[in-house]
Amino acid sequence: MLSLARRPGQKIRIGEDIILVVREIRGRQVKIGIEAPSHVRVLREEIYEEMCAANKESVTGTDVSAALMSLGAKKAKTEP
Amino acid sequence: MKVEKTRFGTIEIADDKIITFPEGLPGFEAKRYAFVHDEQHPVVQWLQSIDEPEVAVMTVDPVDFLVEYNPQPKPGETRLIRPDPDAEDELIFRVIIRRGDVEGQLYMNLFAPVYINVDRRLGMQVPLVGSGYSAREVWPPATEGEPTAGNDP
Repeated sequence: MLSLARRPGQKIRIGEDIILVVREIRGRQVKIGIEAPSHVRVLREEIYEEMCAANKESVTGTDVSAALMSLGAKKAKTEP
Repeated sequence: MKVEKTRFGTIEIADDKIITFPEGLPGFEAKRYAFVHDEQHPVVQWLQSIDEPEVAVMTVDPVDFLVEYNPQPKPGETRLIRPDPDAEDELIFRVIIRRGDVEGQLYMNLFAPVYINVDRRLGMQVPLVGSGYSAREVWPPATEGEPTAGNDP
């Protein structure tokens, strides 16, 4: 992984049109400004990882199917 | 196109039914999917991967369950599948159903719905950061799901 040392106010350019700015450093936290075209998705990594995990929990077929089946069974019972 | 070894066995997907996810669906490699109806559960549509047959993600139309759910992503957030904002392409969305924390329980992922540009056959999942929507909303919702379930004609 490439590592660059930067001071507050200094920037990093990625490709043609993405710029990162170190806005502020306070204790253990860094504020980073991001300029990117609107079609470029900017996400906190943990949110992306949560999406991956959630999607995979939809595919573990047997579990989902079983829950779906029990749901269907419940519905069937409520019908006259 | 034939897709073998899916949860439904071998299925035939018409080329014009294929939806391309340019950035894929987070968690999976595949870029091409198609909706497959669940004959046993008509409210369910499986987003079946063409490239990874074992991958089929369970989705529902939230309108069937949550009238008030109306996520509004910013135009830039769907630019990937709607490159021309002036085009009157039809966008629809579906929510993914996932396994719950308790056995037999299912959750709706309202935080990250899947958007489809029906006219261009393009799709993407959009995280609604800051919306307050949960990725763990119990499905079906007890208040609306239960009464309607028995009233269907």
